Amino acid sequence: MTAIVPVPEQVRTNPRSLHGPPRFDVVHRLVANRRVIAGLVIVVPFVALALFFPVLPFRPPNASSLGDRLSSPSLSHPFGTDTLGRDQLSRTVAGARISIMVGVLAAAISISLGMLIGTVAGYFGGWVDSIVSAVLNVFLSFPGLLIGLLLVAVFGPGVWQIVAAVSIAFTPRAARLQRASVLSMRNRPYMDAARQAAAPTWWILLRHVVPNTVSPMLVVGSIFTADAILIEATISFTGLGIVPPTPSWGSIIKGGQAVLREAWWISLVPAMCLIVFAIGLHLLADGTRQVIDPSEQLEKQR
Amino acid sequence: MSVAPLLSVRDLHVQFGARRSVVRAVNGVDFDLAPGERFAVVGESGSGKSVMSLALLRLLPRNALIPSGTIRLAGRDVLSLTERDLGRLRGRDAAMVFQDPMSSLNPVLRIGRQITAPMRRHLGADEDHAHARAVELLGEVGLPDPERAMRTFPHELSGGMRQRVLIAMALSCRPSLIIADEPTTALDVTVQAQIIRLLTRLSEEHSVAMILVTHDLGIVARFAQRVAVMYGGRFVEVGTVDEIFYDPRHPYTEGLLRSIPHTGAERTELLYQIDGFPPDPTSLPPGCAFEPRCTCSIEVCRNQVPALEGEEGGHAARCWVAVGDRVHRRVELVR
Amino acid sequence: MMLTEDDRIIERPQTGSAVPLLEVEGLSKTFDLGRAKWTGPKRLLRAVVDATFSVARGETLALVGESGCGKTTTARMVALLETPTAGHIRLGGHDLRALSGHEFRRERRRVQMVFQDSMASLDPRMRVGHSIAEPLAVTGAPRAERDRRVDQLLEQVGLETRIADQFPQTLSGGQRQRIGIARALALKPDVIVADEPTSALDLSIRAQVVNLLRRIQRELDIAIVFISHDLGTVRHLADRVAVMYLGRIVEQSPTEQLFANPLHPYTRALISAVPVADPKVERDRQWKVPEGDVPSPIDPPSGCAFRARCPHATDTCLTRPPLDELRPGRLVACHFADRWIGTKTA
Repeated sequence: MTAIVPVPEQVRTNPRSLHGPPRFDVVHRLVANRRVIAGLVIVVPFVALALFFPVLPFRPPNASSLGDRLSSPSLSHPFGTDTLGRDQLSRTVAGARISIMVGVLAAAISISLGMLIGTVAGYFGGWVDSIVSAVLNVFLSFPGLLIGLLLVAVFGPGVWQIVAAVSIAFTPRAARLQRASVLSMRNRPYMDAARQAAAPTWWILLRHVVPNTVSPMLVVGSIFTADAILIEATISFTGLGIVPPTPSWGSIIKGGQAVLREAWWISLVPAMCLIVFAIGLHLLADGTRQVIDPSEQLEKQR
Repeated sequence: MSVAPLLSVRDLHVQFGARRSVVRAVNGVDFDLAPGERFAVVGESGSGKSVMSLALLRLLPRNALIPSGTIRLAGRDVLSLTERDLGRLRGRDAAMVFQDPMSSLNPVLRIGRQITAPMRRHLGADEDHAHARAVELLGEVGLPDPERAMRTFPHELSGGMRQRVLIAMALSCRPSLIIADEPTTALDVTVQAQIIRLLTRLSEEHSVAMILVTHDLGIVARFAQRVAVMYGGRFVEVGTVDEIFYDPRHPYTEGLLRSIPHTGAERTELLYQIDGFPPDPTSLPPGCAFEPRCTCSIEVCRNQVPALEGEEGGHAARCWVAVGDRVHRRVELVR
Repeated sequence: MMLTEDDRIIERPQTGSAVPLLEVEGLSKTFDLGRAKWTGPKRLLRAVVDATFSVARGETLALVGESGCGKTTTARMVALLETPTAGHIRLGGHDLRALSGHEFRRERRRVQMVFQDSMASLDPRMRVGHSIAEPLAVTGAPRAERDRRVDQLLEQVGLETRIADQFPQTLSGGQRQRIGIARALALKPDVIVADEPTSALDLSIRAQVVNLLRRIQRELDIAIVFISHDLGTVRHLADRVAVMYLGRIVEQSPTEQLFANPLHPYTRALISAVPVADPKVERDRQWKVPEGDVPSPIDPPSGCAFRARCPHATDTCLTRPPLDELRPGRLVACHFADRWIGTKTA
């Protein structure tokens, strides 16, 4: 037997692993994605206008001036006026404020609640899951719009009522998505590793389940916002939900319905805003999904 | 080589990607394959062995680029064939068996339909002839009830049986070459042994040359007549199976052999370990790819890629230190 | 680090004289697969049936077998990640299943698992340093102490301490596996269950991990339960081997005796099926490769499970052979095992 060559135990660090952690990488890639940029270009101005509306020099949205009623777009009234002579531009922006707020709130509430319910159902399984899934399935068999309408009819008109209605309508969808996410990662080895360290369940849920399932929810959040705004508009359009004089895109469109032939601008402008804003949100969502979806990344690496 | 080689590869390069990082998967591979020869290509992940085997039949994905090299199979230049001629080559002159039998078989078609397809296409055989030959082949590869198997769907068969079906398919048009890329990795140990034994037998009985790509040195020892060790996209050592195992000349080959616990080896000793990790194909060093991990490298190893030196068509190694004296190393294989 | 003579020769405790640290008795796991149809028969998957073995401090027991044999399920039960349907697991005398919640949580930390897929065993959103520290954080160790221990563990497994800030995706397979080992060591366990720790690694890296496990066992006097289908590594690392087939242990012997003189036909088949990296040995040996495929554990044959593929099966094999101790320390489940005592391996 001859001498064995000495074996240094220390492993040199792979030069690849000295790059920055993936977190910053994600932000870089997000900003570089075309859809994300396009989405932001649309969404940010809307949100900014809506947010800063009170301090911007718009005419009061509810100030009627019957002498100017139904005037077409002009320099003093860039979006025209409606049947009561109210400035459409300021009403549209005020409407944006309400609509976007409803959309964002409803999306946020339904996603939070949905994540809670979905996580419980997905992680614990068994009879808890069976009961929750059954309830969810009942809700999911109705279109969100229908549920929203029903609830608004029960709750009555008003901004908060509609937020509640849309949230309830969307929560089951979020819950189902979250449940699927949780099911797919529940038995991954790193979960076993946490269990064998005798980590309590709440620890595992908070430190492992939630962070690893939150990404798809962000994408969904953007889409929910768009959907929520559309549903709010539809409900308000029927006369329920947000009623005049409170401006929201839906109620403004409704208000212009009767005079569509003479004063097309009343309904058209908020409708266009609705469409464009929804597209912007969808672009944002799709771009974000492109960046964070692992299977897309794998394709790029090939 | 006294007989004209069946397959002749010279200076083959394959790379992927263009913009920022180019993946240099294969960086200059040369070898000849004699008719009926069993040739094994051994390497780890990232060594380029799979890419090279796919390149031989031009089965690479769209973003792959072959910037240089020649591949001559049965006298024809594979790299310059038209799609039509290529279609005739694949399946008839040369066939391939892949690692995962489930994804190589169409799950919605019965086995009979799939196994007769190459014969109907390449040989123009009619249904009855193809069917009969298929049943014959399935029997030869060891399926218990060939007639019944013809009517089954892939998911009804086990992994081992599916792989046998694929081997039967590969044989159906009597190719002169079969390329098998890790055909047993997904299978259980006992089934693996059956498949390797089957391939060996078929190669001998039908005089089919075989290229077996694997990372398992045991399979190489069992199956191969000649071996090429691949690292960093190049063959770093080529030779007969005895030469490679009993007289390794490249430090990587030697290190690999010594690091594998041999079922006859001493138990009480720590295994020899090769330090470091396999190279990154997007940033290969300018010189020898193994140099960062090599315990006996010299200055030139860092700067210049060694040429494959040795007897023409015989035992050769790509190492500046290998051929010649190894006084400084004073190591021997522990047997 | 020069290897000295002492490093090279690793002392082994005498088999049988060591006090067992981990004792597994009659361990079984049955999965209920539900019925195929409403009125169909109940389908049960008997993944592990009546497994009994023990491991002492500083000793390595290998569980070998092919897919469906139950070795992974057994490992998971030993690591307390799976609840046994029946049987006992004793650690230092305490029956783990009989413990209450709080005590159970305390005792279970003494058994830690190293997983096969190192990438999947690390939370992709956590820096590896945090992953290693997690067991310590769960037990309430303060931040400073956790950081210190992580550095210590990284050194012990041969990694640079600055690797702690990396995310698992940027590391190589070998590095990740070392991280997994470091994490398993965090709570100073008495038993490590290693589930195919090298099969996902590149060839040239495997020896590193095997040597690491070896060294750690010697330094920390840990018992190791080693799951593998790589007989070469098993022979190198294990003191005793248990061969499993369709959920049962069919042979259990000290390593050298198992390889030199395998008693159960399946063991013989397995050993002869595994190719050895030595062409002369391969040419000389006789291939006794069993026919057929590994049967599914959902519908095992009656009697001896290996009956269908065994070249020596007779009618006697319709009754299941018990696991008998043919010689001290050598257990076999075969009616005809004594036929092969003392003969050379095929």
